[in-house]
Amino acid sequence: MLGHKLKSYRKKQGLSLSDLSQLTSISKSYLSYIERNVKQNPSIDVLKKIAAVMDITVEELIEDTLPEFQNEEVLLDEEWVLLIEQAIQEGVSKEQFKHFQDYIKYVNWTKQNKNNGGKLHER
Amino acid sequence: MSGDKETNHLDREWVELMDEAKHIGLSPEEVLTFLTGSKEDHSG
Repeated sequence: MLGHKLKSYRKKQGLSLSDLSQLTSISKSYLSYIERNVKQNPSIDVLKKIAAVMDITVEELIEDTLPEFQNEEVLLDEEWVLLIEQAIQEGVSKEQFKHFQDYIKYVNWTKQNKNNGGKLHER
Repeated sequence: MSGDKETNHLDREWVELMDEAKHIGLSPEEVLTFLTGSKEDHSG
């Protein structure tokens, strides 16, 4: 939970709630609400202020609270890891790669559609 | 320090993208062809 994580980071920094309140210009009561998970969806501005004081990124502050990041490590074969290095070396952006994936998905979809005889809704 | 964090974040995003590429049925060879082809497109 975000609250537990925030409290853990704060303790690690040796900060009291009052200290954090002064450094972030966020009220002590509001910070307390976040830590006790009373307030579970603070705004991005609030998260940015807290993360800046903790010297971490907003992603680091919230990532464990997001289901898709609970299992952080996706295991890839070495072959695929080398492709990541290749992509970075070639200067291919993530956006370009996403567009490529979308294109492949579309091609797969059209193939599937043809195999179904163009009947999309038939089961 | 923040540079390291950015690199880790970037790497993780790439890992997720490659993982998705695997799931949609792309082979490493096809991905490599795209990567090298992209460079040619930009130069031309």
